Amino acid sequence: MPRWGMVIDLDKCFACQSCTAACRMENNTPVAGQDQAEMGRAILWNEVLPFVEGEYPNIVETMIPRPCMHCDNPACIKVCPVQATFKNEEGVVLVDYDRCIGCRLCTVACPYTVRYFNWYQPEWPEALKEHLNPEPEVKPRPKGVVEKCTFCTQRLRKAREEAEAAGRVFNATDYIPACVQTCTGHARYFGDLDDPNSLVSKLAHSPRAFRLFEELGTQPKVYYLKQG
Amino acid sequence: MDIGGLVHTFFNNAGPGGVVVMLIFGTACTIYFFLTRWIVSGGRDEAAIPDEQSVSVDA
Amino acid sequence: MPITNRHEQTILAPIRRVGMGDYLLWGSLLVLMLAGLGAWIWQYIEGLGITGMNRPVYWGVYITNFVFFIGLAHSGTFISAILRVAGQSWRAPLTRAAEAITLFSLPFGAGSILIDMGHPERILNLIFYGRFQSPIMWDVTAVGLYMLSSIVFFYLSLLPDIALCRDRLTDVPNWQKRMYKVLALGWKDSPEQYHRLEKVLDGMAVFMTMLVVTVHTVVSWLFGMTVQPGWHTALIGPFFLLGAILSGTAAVVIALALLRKVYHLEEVLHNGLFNSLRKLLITFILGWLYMMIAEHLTIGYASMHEEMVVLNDKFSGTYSLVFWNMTVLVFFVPLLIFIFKGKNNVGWMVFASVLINIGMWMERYIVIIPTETSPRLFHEMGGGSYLPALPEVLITIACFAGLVFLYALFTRFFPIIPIWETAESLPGHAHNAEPAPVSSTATGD
Repeated sequence: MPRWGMVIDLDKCFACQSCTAACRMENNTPVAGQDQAEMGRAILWNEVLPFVEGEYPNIVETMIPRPCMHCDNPACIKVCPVQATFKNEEGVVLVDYDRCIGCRLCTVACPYTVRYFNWYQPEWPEALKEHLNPEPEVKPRPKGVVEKCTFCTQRLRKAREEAEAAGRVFNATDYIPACVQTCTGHARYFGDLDDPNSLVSKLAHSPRAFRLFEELGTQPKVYYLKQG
Repeated sequence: MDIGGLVHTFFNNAGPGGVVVMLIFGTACTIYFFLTRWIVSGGRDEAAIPDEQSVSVDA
Repeated sequence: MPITNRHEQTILAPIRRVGMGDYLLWGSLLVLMLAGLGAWIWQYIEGLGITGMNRPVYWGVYITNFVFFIGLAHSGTFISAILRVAGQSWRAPLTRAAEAITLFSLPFGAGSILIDMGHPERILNLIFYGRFQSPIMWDVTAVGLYMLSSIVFFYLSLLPDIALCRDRLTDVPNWQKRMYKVLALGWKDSPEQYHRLEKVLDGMAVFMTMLVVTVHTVVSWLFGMTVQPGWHTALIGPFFLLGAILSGTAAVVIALALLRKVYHLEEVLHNGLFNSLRKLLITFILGWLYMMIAEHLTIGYASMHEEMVVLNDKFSGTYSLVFWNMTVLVFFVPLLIFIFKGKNNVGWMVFASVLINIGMWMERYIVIIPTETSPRLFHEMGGGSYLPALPEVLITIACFAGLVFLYALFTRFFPIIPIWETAESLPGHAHNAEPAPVSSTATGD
């Protein structure tokens, strides 16, 4: 059983936001509109966060693309009262939209703020509505539930189905999430962390590798390669 | 017995939380019901004594 | 031998005359409650988007209300259970008035969680799929058990008085007579019944004391179990508990003063009671200040980066106005009032108690919101902001109106002073201690 993980090379990322856009199209996150977005209501499973250190003009700016960390010891799962959010056997943290009661304890417990709440019934402009991804995993979520990055779990299912149809064994390299596929600078790597020969596993052991808030003990499966 | 292991298991596994809650409420309701009945039934023995009776007939 | 209590007529008087004023009060409170209900329906249809909540401030005024109302509820249990365990007999006249606050504020505390949920209709998932590892489940269990136990405790101590109403209130409407008859469970005023009742109440008081500690600690663990700066401290449990008892006791002062004024109960609710409460309140405020200093000094002295972000926000940032007003205006000032002005002066006592309750609400707010606006990954980018929106205000007002409404309604149908507990003689008890002192300074100080 693979243990999916991601490595993001901050040296290669130039914050073009194509991961954010690809994620939206792949996962049908609703369009919040400007006023709602300004209130902090936008739903972006993947975000590119700017971190600015120092005073102008001597500043160091780091752009950190932030999907869900898919922690091995997730703070969100521990606190869910109805097991609506759970970690599957491949280490991916998912949400059961039909069970979530909308208490938002997971959203306040997550130190990475990666979990989003559906404040309203999701909406899209007409032009976008025609291009919604038809996969059942990403059907529009109802209002009042929490949602988040799933490492494009629908793509994993499709890759498995394709492998089966072609009569070959499913390989961990058969599947990548939309953000990895689209990344302009090839900054994102995806694969099986448990396979010592996989690229992600090697990169995750590189001396440049670090994880966000490692001291919290959440054991994220998204690694970053230090800039510079 | 590995008590630390048990605590760890409790916090890392989904449990039948609903059953625990129902058990606690069920037990509490039962205890309270019998306590109330026990208190009220304290008046039964004296029911035959005439002067007690005269007080408690509905006014 | 029947109950004899020389204040019986005074205590029963409010039940005998329900006037125009009452209907006006009930009516206006109902209007406020309906406005809140309307807001909730609006929110249910539209989604939680109509509130001021956002990302990262996922919890707002509703959760603040939840903590506040549960805290307010501890008044009753403190006065009637903890002081019963401690054998403080002066508490007798005010037990029911205090316990009624518990009973009527708990539904609004528990209800606030329901209001806050994105899918309140899925509440039964807690039973079907409940995970006992979640602090929410601890809350459901603790608050639910507390509510159930409070109802039983309240009802049992009300039982002899319902029987008394059944026997002596002959001029009330028929339905009311029937209500007393059913609720009295055939109470016969026998010595054995009183004996058993006292026994059960004593036993339950110990259990209720345990519940008070558990409930408010568990409420705080909703926050304390996360890793968020400002919340993740072991002190949050005792801090919440002390605040709860403080706001609860202050609420008792307000309720007693109102009852005394409106229902002319000066003889029963004498100044001595207020003087005793005053001493309790002084102790609690000092305890609260101790917790306040212990918590903030620990954080400030160690100066861990993400903790300091939240602390600075409270001390000198966005929330400094609320924070310092809370500390100075609603804690130092009441402390001074209680020490220098409160003795034998109910007016000042009430004023200070109102300040304390405003302060405790602000304190709950200041514990919850600043941590949320600056979660670890977010404060680097300026953090979030939050202002309650109209539906939240309406629902909050409705919750308070509901509390007052239930309380006012109750006092017009049941004696708010326990007649049997303050009686001079009870069946089976040769002499129930000394008659309660009438003069204002006889007890207390």
